[in-house]
Amino acid sequence: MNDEQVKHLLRSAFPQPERKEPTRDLWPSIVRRIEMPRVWSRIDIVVAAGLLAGIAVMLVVLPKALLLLAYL
Amino acid sequence: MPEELDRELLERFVQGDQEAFELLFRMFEADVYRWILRIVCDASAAEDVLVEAFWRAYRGRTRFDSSRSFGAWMRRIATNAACDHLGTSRHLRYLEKREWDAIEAPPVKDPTLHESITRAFHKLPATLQVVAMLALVDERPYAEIADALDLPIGTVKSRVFRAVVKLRRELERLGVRP
Repeated sequence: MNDEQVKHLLRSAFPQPERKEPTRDLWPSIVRRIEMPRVWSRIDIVVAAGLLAGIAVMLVVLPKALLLLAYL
Repeated sequence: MPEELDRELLERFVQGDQEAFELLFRMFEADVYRWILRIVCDASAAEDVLVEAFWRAYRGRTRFDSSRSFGAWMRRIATNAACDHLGTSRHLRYLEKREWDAIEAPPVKDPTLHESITRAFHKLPATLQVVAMLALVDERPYAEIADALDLPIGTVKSRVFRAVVKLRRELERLGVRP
């Protein structure tokens, strides 16, 4: 099977869709999405807590690391 | 995509003016929808991805340079949103007939052949599906695809090549003959 035959098979399976635009007005959904308050996911909270805990442990074990943080 | 845009309108958008954003949405909605529909092949999902793309555009509006093309910037965001959809939806399925009805385009006459081709296509990684759809099916220029994906043209060409190799192998494994 050559490249042209692969292309031909693909085109036959995925004809140009005739639909040209969405079935409904999507602007209200976009406005709702924009106005939605930003919610932290569980993963965000776990990652943030882990990061803070890591920094705290590092400062307890290596107090001089505070100087490193001062550079950041 | 409509490109003759008022610079002031774009600057108002960057500053967070929702009226300006709505005007831009109305101007670009249909083009972005068609672009997304081509990538995700699912009319209902295309609407969700469109909302996601315009929301991302609004959220990232301060990064938009109003001297550049809004259409190209929007297409890039839409492509990323569509790729994320393909990556998360695990599109390892073939389109049912009702889904083709939903986008009003008839599939090939032989349902078994259609199933094999779409199954092989959806076995490709999302990154290859996108380039294959845009380059091989839609015949979009490599430069346009590279711009939408924010990739060098050489990378697009190599992805198309890899997509064809993988498709050929999978189609032959499924017993599809041209």
